[in-house]
Amino acid sequence: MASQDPTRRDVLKRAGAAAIGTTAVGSILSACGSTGTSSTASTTNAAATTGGGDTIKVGVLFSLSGDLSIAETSMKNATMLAIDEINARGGVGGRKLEPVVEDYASDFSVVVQKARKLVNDDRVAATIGCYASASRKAVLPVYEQGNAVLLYPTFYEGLECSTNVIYTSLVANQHLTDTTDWMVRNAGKKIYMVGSDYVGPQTYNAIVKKLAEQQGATVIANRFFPLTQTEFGSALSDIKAANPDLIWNTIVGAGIPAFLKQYQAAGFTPEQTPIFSGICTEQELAAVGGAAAKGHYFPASYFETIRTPDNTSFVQRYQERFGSAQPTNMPMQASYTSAYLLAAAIEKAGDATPAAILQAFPGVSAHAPGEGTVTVKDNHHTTHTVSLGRANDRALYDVVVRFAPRDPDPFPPSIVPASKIPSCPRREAS
Amino acid sequence: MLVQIVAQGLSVGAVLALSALGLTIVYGVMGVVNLAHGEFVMLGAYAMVLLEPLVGAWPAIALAPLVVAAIGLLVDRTLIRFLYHDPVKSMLGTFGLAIVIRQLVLIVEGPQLRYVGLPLTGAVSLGFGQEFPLWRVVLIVAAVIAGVGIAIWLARSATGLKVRTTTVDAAVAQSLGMNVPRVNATAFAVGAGLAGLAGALVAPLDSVYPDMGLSYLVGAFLVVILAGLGSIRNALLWSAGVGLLTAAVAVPADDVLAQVVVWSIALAIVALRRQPLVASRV
Repeated sequence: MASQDPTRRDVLKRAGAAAIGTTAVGSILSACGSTGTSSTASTTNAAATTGGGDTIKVGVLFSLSGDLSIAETSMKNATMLAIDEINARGGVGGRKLEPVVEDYASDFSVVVQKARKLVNDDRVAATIGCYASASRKAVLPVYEQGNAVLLYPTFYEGLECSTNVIYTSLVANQHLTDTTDWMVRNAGKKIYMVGSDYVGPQTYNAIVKKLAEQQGATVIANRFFPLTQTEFGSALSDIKAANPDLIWNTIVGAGIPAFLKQYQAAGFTPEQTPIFSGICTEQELAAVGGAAAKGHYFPASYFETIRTPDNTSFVQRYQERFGSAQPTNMPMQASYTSAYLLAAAIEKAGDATPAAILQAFPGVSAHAPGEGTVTVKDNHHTTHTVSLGRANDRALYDVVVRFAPRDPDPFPPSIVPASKIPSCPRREAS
Repeated sequence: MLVQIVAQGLSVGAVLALSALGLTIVYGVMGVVNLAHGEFVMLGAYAMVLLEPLVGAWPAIALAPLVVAAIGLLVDRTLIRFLYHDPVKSMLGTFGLAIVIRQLVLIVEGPQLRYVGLPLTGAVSLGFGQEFPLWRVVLIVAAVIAGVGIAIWLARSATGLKVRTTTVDAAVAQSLGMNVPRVNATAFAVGAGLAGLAGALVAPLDSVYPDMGLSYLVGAFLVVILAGLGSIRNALLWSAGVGLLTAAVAVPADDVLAQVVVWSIALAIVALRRQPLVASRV
């Protein structure tokens, strides 16, 4: 899901430009064309072997330029760090991993071309990549038709279970269940919900609402904003009048700093009305500033501030290689861990063909820095241990409570009727 | 509730007015539909981000419009002057200019969101036990001062007289010995400076990043379409009207619905209105 959704934003932006009299028709067409459905005819290369046997090719597919490059460059770096570490200890089954890095430039039509290149031309054993849900959805047909493997290292809303994707970060039920429980017990039962108006926040809020109501809480409002909106005065006036115990927030991207600053300007304090955010990593928080960020909550499977020897070492190794000013966060840590999960799956399969890797994946484990052992389940999602963080005055999260490990469920019964729960994994009807 | 709606409505209207004023002046004087106007707002916000740590918040707010006006002057001399009195050409030219400015800021400052603290925290009492953020009051006051100030400048000053003369007939103004290019450049710089002021004032409440300008351009255009391009008094009134209507729906109900209502009504007004889009200029 990630924090931004440029396809949608670009479309809105371009539609806006068109509405005021410019000829952006070409752009709109290309933006619409980018959202997937690009099916190649090459369905015959199911047995994409990895060549001579000297190396195992691994696709690394992130945006290294454009809007999303801040987040995704660090994910690429973390992946490369893990691949180098795996190679330094001798590779997998005596073969080194050979990364094939592709930059999709924050463009969801480019990501499809790059995925095709990795799957059809490079014939990689697997790919680690994608960030926003829109990028994953865009490349899904390429991986499914090529019977290739994608490791998706970003926390997301669920409601998907592709045969060809291994979801290595949190899915919504893991991210939200214990957090909602803690939130209702410790911060109050009167909840005001806000979020950006698209699938990720809508799904997150629906799940939290259901879970909170099961705990006896009342959701007094569930408000959504257009993705580009950064004016929240009206909502904050209403929140002030409603006087909730807490605010549940899934506003994403550029809206986050604006919302938190306007909340502060309106005289709210985190002591009285704390904000619990579902989609606000340290990266967004940095733009809010310590003073306005302090006291707000965010659940994650990884925080830089976790003081365990393995995390201290992970942060140190990362910063030695990429610079001391480089912060670490959840999507990065999941990217790093993804490379180790892939290595373990290839080891288990004893073969680096995509089909063998896919078959081997369920049950494969790896060590995630600062978190512990994570295991890929039969449903292609990964077990995780979530902690709840509270922002300090350096705009980093300190761990308030660490929950028990939780199994992933991409189709939680709280929001998906029993009759509609599909078998998982399965191919998406596309 | 009503007090909150009025206060919030005027605050939204103030931001609309600050961004619409510059747009309407530039069109009024030189017939340029400036699609890069939102980027000038963005530049004002970045000026605030960069100057505030150096000179403090209030001096930064005073300097930001000057910085953006200077950039406006440069842009006018190098590009805009070739686009005068040709709305279509000016739209294409300034659309391109907007892309160039956004990308330059992206290259120099990077894509990340930037932070500006609130110069004034705290709230004012509205009576009835209601409070309103102090910084939003500053926005409203600033919009009124800017609007009235510009109106007086146009009506009373010597430069204002030249601007009005040029607006009515540039050729006659030129033949009377006025330096029309200088008048145009001044007007464009003033328009850019107003956008810069808007950017500096909203920066403490908004998220500052290279693409932030578009929403301001769209808001300004909405006002200008309703008010008629080139009318300052109408622009102020319609800004307040749009702000109040937005808040009247958004405070009790929903922001998405507010957008739907505002744009539907705007569409109906424009469709049913007999008079031409362009009002008597300035």
